[in-house]
Amino acid sequence: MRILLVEDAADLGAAIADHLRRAGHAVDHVTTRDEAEAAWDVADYASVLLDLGLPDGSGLDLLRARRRSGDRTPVVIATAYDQISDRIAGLDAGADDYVVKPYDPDEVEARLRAVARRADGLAASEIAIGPLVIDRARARVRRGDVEIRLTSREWAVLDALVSARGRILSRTALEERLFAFDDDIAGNAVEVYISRLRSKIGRELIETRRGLGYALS
Amino acid sequence: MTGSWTLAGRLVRRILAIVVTGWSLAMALGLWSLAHEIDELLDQGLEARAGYALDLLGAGVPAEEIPLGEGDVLWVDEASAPAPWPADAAARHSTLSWHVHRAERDGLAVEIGQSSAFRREEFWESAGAFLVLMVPLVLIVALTVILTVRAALGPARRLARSIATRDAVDLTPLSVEGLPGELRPVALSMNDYLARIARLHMAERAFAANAAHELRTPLATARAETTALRDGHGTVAQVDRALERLTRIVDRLLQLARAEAGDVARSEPVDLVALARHVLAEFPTSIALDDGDVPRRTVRSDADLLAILLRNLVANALEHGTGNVRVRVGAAHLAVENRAAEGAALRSGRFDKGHASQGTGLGLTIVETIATQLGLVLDRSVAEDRVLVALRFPATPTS
Repeated sequence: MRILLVEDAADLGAAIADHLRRAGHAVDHVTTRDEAEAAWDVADYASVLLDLGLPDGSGLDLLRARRRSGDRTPVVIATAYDQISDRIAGLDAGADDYVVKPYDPDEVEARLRAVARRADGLAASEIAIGPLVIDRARARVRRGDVEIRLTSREWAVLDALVSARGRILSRTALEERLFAFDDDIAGNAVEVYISRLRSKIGRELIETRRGLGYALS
Repeated sequence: MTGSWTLAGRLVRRILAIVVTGWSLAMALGLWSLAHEIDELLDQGLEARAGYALDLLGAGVPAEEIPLGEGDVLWVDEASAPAPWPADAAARHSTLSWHVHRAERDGLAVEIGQSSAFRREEFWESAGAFLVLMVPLVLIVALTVILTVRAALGPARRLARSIATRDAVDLTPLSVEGLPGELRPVALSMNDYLARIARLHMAERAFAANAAHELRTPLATARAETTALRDGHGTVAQVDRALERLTRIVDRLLQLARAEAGDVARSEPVDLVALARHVLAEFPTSIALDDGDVPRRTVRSDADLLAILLRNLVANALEHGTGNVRVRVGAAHLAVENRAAEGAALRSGRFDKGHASQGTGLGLTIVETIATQLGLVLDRSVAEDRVLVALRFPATPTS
């Protein structure tokens, strides 16, 4: 899924962005409130990891402004402010979750996936589609008792199709969810990943609608 | 004075003491006057009755039939029995036990005496009525004093209650509405203190929050880097960088804590040239030292605090400057100079740092705190691309 990472500490931002990318997510890492607003305006993020102390303004104010404008993108606040009052203020401002530094990167990644899942209306971590059982919390797929091993990009494609819940996702929509602004995207990248995924989970499970896009059968 | 006492109690006691003393003096004067008047009145009666008795005796009325007043004793000189009072030819005389009046005409003399006991009895009868009337009056005065004092001290009592009952964390100002002129300065001073405490409290909270932020962020970085190592990515150098930054922040926070702890700075001879050489040797980069070509520059100060101060100034110059750093040691001053990007600013607020700065935002705060403690004058200037921080020592070098 595509994640917006707002973190002004360069070292930490780079480390977390790398971690999320290794987990198969497309990550846009920005360091200021202005950059965050600009990215948020143009891309459709599955979730946002938001630091509060930004050099040009408060992350909390940014979140409030987004919520006031009707934006419902799931947001996990990641901050050093560890008081209960800070946590309450963050959740009241519209955050979906709150983690305190120094956090476990694996836990943060799991929380980002969880808030995205809840936003899709699919709170349950395991979903059965045909013969497949998809565990979205652990990013695993199995057919019966046999686990199907997917690469992080393949998982990201499958997860995007699951979150669409039968709706058709265009190639552009899939690209947006799979790649960050800085990623080099080959012209047929989406088709390649769909093809690989079909070969692993079964050709019949992903339907191609000519001129429209892809959907889970 | 030990134990608790109240202003109202003290005022009531003192006012009542004054009132009762005044009343007692007035009473004593009144009783003395009363006694005098009673004596005078009774003496006039004795005189009148003695003259009347003489008239009746002259008219042949027997002495036994002459009417006398209450307590009177009649003595006629024809009588053979002596008078109960000592003989005295004066018209009026008094002894301890008797008050006597004598009347004489044509060789006939009478004396009428009145005992002092009778007069005392008469006096105390009159005084008793006087005292009985005065006691309730004094009680009414006492009650009025108590109520008046309590009412007058009401604002003080309300102010004390509002201070005593307020929550320990309530730092809102006290209301000065309706307070008398004597108490208003107390409340205003208290409000000043509360405002100062509130400011300190806010600063402390901000410091704790900022310190937590500065410490937790590199910790989070280190954790992310170790997770990457665990997963077969990343390098140990990245973890080292995060830990190095964490160490730097902890060092600065400890320096600030020591500088603010209020420990008394030592005053000892410090050779600035040697101190600068020691501090500059700690940095991996070569830093120019201009010691004026003298072997020693001695001032009275605290070598340890001066070293922390210089270390921070040099580290700041290296972290934020763009060119070579130069340290100058003069007769009574120490200066650090460096080139900086155009528009550079010296930020002295705690945790105040520029965007993308890798510093801690504490360097100049530590420098200012130590300079104040050592009594040094801190001059800072930013001109075009040159930043200069100079410290002037108050005393001239001893050698």
